[in-house]
Amino acid sequence: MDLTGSDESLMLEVKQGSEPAFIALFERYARPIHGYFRRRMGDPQRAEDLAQETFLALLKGARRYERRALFRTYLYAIAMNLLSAERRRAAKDRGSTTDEPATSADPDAVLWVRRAVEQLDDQQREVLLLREYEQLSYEEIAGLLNVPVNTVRSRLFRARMAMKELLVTR
Amino acid sequence: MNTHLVEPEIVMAYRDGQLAAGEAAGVRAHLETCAECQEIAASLDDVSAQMRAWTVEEPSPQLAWRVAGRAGKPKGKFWWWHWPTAALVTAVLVVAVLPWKRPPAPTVQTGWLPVGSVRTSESNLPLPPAEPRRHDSVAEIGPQAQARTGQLGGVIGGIVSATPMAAPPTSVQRRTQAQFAMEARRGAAIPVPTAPMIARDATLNLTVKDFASVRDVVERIVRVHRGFAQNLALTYQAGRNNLTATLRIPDPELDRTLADLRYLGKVDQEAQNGEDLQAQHVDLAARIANSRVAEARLKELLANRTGKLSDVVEAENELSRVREDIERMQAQISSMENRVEFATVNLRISDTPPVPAPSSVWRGLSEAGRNGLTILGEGLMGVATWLLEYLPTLIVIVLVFFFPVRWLWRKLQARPAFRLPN
Repeated sequence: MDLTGSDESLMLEVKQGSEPAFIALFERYARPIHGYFRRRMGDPQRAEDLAQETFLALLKGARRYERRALFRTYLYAIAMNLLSAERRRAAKDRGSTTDEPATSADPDAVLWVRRAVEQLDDQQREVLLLREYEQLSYEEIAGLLNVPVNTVRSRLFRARMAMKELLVTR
Repeated sequence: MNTHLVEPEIVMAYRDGQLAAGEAAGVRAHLETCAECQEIAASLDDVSAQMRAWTVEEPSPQLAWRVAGRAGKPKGKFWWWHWPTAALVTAVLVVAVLPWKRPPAPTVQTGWLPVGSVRTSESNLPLPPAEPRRHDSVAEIGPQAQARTGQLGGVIGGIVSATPMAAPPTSVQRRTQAQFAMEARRGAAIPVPTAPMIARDATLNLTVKDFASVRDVVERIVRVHRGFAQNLALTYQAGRNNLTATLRIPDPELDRTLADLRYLGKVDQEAQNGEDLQAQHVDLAARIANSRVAEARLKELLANRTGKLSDVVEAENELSRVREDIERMQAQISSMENRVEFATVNLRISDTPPVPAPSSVWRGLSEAGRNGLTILGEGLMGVATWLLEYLPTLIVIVLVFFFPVRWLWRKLQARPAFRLPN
């Protein structure tokens, strides 16, 4: 088994019950998925919980996986659904700080970036984060958010221009 | 107003590496000469550079442990690794395979029973598909029939009263017509019965719910009891299917046959008669003996031929008449013994009268509701019965598995299956 192959081929191996293939995918995506949640949530423990749930959901749904989309889109779609569910739950639970990704240990520069990101509207923020930190292509973002690629491009441009203004004014 | 041939978003896409090769080459050439676009690209790069400062901490090593512990191994060929599942499956298999003692059978059954699931006092097994139909005759009495009975096993146990079938008829030894003829030629004496010769017949009228398979079931019951159908007819009258049959059943099997037939449905009418033929049999035997004496004397007279021709002719006629009497009486005896040996069952089976359609929607709904409640009740009763029957043993088996499985589960859960990337 080629554990250096593409994500999609490894996922097909997982579908067949391959443990090494799952380990390989975990090792590739443990950090990015954890980072995805960590930049969107204030509670590091909860972020790690959701990262764990993402991989468990990936494993649970492995039998249904079909190579119709990029694996990254598939994986981040799971993560995005879990995050949405978490936010809905948190919205019902007043006092939760799930959406507050602040920690006191952050340096000023980081704090400034995060404050600027928080001031973006939800659609621009999501596109910007997926591009800057998850390094998803425009096409992957479009597939994930279910919008046209042109929409992704325009949202991303507006988000970056807004960030430029917000970062300049600090 | 932007008069650029290249939109700023395209410049951004070029910086992100999201353009096709041809389009990217055009944008690259434009950027070399356009100061405004160069400024846009630089500001985009600056934003990205500042955002890269926002890093997050590494996931803890426990993440891999937790995923491994929760996930076990990927599903598929590693399913067996899931010990609780394996333990539960094993326990269920053990329960299913163990030779459980069957519950005691009900002794009295009344009411409706579908033909397809005929029950008797021995078991509640459903009937299998009918065997290829064949003409049953007395020749089946013997090892072959017994072997077939054994082969059907529980099936027959589900139809008949599950008593050994080895005992042949004993009231009168069977003698065929050919044996009688040989005895008559030899002048053998007709055996005189010492016990009453009871010729029994019964009438049984039934109504069944499921008429479709009733013929097969009746034939099977008859075959199992080593009888035969003297005649059988299916008719349709007044919106009802009817089966009428005259069954001939070995006398010792009559009661069990009737018992099995009763299980087919609701008994509308039943009657039994018995006629003692012993006196008639003795009388006929005596008359045959006398006729044989007369026959012998006539033969002797004809052998001597001392009289006139007219006397000889008269003696010949008398001998012929005597022989005819003897044969007729022998046939009567044969028929009599046959009636004693094989009881007659006049069977009539009809399906249930057609139920008039509900006169209203409400009536139909209420009927459906009643049926639903009945089915629900039967289902719950079945589940409760199953639980009462098997739960104690199941608990014991699960407890036996529980501690080893838990120990293995914890041991395997404590072992990290993944490494975090360095």
